[in-house]
Amino acid sequence: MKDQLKQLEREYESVPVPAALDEIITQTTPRHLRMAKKIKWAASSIIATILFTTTLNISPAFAENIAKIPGFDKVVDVLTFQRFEINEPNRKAVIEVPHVTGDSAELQALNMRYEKKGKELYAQFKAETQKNMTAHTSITTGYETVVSTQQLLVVGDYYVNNVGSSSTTMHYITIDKQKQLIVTLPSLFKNRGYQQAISAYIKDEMRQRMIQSNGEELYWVTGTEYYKKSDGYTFEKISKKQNFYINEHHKLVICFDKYDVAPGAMGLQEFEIPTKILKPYLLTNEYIK
Amino acid sequence: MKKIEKEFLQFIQENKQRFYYFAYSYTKNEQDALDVIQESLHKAWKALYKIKDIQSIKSWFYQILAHTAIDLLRKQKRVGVMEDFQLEKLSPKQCDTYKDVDVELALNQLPIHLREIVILRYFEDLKLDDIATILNMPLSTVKTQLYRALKLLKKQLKGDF
Repeated sequence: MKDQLKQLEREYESVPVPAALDEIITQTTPRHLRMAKKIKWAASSIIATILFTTTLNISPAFAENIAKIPGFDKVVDVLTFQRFEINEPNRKAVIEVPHVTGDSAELQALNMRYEKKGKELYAQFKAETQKNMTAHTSITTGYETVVSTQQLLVVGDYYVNNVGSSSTTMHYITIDKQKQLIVTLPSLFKNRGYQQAISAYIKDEMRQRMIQSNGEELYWVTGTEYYKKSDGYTFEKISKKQNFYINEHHKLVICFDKYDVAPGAMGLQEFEIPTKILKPYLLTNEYIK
Repeated sequence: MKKIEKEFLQFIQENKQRFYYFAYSYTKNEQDALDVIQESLHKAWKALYKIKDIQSIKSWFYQILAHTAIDLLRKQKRVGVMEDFQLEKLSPKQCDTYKDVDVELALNQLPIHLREIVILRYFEDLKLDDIATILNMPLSTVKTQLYRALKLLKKQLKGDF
């Protein structure tokens, strides 16, 4: 039997391991733990094929916005500030850096963050692909205007990374146009009780969705027959820096990236929170009604 | 970097191929195996802070891998968990002769709940105790299942003896 088991083991280990495995490992490793990579600029002729554009994109839409400015009021809006592009057979990257118009210090700081992030992503992508030129990789980052009302502007910036399988992250910023302020989650509430209340609502909602779909939809939450604690990670509660936005109906929407609370196949997840659940904790009804 | 994070990183780098073999033994295709690993790593990094004992990383992570793989299979409905009576019915009879069954086929013919025990014990070198934790079953069950699996394998490999 021993020989047979050895033989079986050889068979077990004979499966070719795809190159994409390394990419997946890098991708899943928390950012702060990834090896600091020496970035080699201008290392080879490849650089010649790289399109590098740094142009303030004065689009017709932007011109229109300027036209709308009633003399002294500055319109808070979002437009493309920078665009980096790499287009090669094996690696493609499109990085669009958003820019929010407005002159408050907070919005300026936000723009600096966007810009820094764009540059970092570009450098990181180049460094990572230089190391492994055979795997097909592509990243796309950009932004979209999710909500634009008189009062609020919600900008979502996304990041799609394709290495064999894809991962997507989406991050929202909710801006009060009139005050030129960024709305944060804790600033909406009187105390921390909201975290518990929202988490409880979301977990119930997840369980219901799992039961209704007979486990077709799966969330990493216990309390149904479809997911057990022993399955690994379980979602307990939303974080202090939870991703969120406020939609045009004045409802709070809590957002999760792929793999945050559910298997990757479930994609990005959003939960609209009924305002009555938030009532006891709300500081003002200014944004959420 | 925390110590546990460093250990886990190192563990991943040293064993990544083995994760792939293990995941592949369930999914039987590349894309699904990669998905299982990706999902497991996501879960593991999130739950890593709960690990007190570095020694337990291996069985802990294999537990996540096994559960994630089974979840995926359950979703795809390609494989259902087989009950013992079905197993008895479907396994080759004593009198049957399988001259040309090759070795790989023998392993794949084992129902998944027996296959994973053989793999964990003999290929991944895990202790019976750890396997009991990983597969969430009593130690005695692991023992009887392993015995059953070996018996079945022997039958299937009879031609080679």
